[in-house]
Amino acid sequence: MRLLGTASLTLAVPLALALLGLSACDDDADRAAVDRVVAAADDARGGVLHRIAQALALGDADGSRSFTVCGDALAPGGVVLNDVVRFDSAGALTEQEAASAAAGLLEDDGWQVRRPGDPRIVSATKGDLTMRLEITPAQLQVDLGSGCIETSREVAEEYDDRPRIELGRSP
Amino acid sequence: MSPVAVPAHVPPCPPLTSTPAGAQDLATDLRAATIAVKNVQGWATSIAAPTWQGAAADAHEHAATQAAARLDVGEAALDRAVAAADRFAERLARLFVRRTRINADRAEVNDLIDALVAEVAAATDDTRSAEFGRRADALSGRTSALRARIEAWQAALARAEADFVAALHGVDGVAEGVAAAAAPARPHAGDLSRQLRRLRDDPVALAGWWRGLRRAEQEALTTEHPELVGNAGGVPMADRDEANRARLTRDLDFYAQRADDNQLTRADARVLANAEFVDEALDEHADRTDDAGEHLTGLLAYTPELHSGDGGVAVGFGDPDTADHVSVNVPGLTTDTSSLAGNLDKTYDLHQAAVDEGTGSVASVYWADYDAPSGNPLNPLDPLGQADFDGVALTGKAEAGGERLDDFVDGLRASDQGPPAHLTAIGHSYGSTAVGHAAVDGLAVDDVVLIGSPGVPAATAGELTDADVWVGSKDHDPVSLLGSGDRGGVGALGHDPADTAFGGTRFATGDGELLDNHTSYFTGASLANLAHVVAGADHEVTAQPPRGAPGGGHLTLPELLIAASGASAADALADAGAWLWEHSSLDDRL
Repeated sequence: MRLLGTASLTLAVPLALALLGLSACDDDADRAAVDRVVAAADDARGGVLHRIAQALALGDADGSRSFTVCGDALAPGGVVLNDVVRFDSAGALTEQEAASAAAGLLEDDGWQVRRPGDPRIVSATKGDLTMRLEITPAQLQVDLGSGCIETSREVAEEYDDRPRIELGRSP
Repeated sequence: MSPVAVPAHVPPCPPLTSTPAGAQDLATDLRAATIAVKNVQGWATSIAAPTWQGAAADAHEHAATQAAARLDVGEAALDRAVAAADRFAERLARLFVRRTRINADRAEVNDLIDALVAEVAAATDDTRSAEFGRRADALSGRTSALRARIEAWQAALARAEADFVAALHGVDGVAEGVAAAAAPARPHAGDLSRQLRRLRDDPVALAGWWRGLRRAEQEALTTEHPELVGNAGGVPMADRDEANRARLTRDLDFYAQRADDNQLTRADARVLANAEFVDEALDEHADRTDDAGEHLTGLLAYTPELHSGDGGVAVGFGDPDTADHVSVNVPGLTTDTSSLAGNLDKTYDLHQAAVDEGTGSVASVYWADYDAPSGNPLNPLDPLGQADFDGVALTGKAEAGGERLDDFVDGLRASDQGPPAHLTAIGHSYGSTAVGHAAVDGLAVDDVVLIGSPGVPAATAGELTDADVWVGSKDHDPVSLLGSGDRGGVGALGHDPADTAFGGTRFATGDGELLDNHTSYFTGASLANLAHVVAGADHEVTAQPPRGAPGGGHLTLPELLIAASGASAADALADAGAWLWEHSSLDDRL
């Protein structure tokens, strides 16, 4: 660094400060973007997923929420939201009836629904959210989350450091 | 219209309040405690007095022997508790599957009852009375049988719980522990350990030998040598998972205690860090269960002390020993245990996509049990990348990784149950080079997928392997332009498998933003095609012309780097600014 001389420091320090300042504003915007997706996921759990549970006469639910970092050293950081919810089922509907009912409720709620090759699976997207339901006679497992929400590396690691939280049992 | 006696709906089967996954977790904790006790007991057995003589020496030996003997009593009791928890978990899993079938039949029968009720209600005369009567009688028979099944299920659950409680009561006192330690049927872990070591390099023989052991013998070995059982090819994957989870739990406790006591060496600290990364990654998937209510994930390899301190790990979704389609995903640059969580997400995305194909059961393994290069040599600001450049430019780590991958896949084949699984190896980036080295040595897979490959050690797919070779190379992925071929790559790691001369099948991957292309093979069109290959749906794969063929090429590496320099300038500036700030504040000689 001595080779650079003080002239480089005169240029570099203000430049770095300016960039770090801009970076701080971007971090707030990044957090707001993640929080918007989290809020949408909470709405989905309390809204369409609750209606699906009622239609399928499902039992108690439990689940968890976690965040992981996306991208790696070659690409900018980002955050992925991962909600996992599992409902007990007593088989009030057949698998086919349950999958059709769930798909219908999702479409009514504005989700783009896809029925892949496995008839037990219902996939859907809405905005930044993706939802995948795996329906069996004994349980309904739901993956509700996002793709990579681009953020700074700092914000990504901040969310990644959060511990997994239980979403709590609910009828 | 004559009345028809339609049976009432079948009531629901009650839920399982003791869950298979919960019982697995209890068994893990008991195994971890057993491992800890066995470690201390082994130490107590082995300590020798200094060159004392006379009464002091006798007293020392007596005390050490007594300590070892007391610990042996605890060890025997814990072994029985582990066995009881293991049996309980198995019974709960069978009950979960039985309940699934009961629920499916209940839904069908209740639907038929509703349909009959509706038809009877709509009937205006007795034309169909006889038919309605026959159907009602048949449904009555089915509902009675279902009610009996539900009662039998409830009784089986009550027995399983009672047996488990009784088994734990049977070893919760000192006298019971002493009896367990002296029991003639108690496994001799020493003899079993010697046989395990002897068979370690022969997965087929080991698999056969393991199958012939009593469950108590398998459990005794698991807690005596979890590091061997958890990583031995031929041991069933479910048993490897049990051993590795128990060892992980014990490591977390042991090394955390050493940290609290300020006794952690540098090597210990890395093991603890690796254990914590693995624990966090598994925790994020802890709520996902399989069709038997057991954990969907399996910890199939766990070597936290290896690979220059980076640690080794393999995690699977689903059961590779029973699945119809199994994939093994090998990562590349900068992979270490700290990157497990993010890489597991990609493997889980692939797992879901392959399940969605509906072509059969699926297991998806993320395998990072080799010494991958630690840095990114394409980033001049990454000191690790510059320091580890020889690890990338030369193929040593890929060759060594290929050997370890070969061993892992041989183990998969040996423990596979039923008809051989359709097995796919996927190598990303430097991982593709490792897969390539394994392939030329005869990797026992049906399909090889090379994505973002900087080169493989064969000029053609036919020279590489007898398996089908699939290639995913995004046009704007600079790493995929490093292999020798049409785009003028240097070829330090081998040949570009996307080149037309190579002869592999290049599939469509889509293309994205310049800097994201190397890390986005597990999304979009690329993910869809990966899933098609893994699930054996080759006819669904959308192809892309190979490089050098019409429509198959794009920029060369120098052209791409020039084009990328503009896009990356902002990122480079931000990185440079942060680096300069850090050094100007820390280095007072500036």
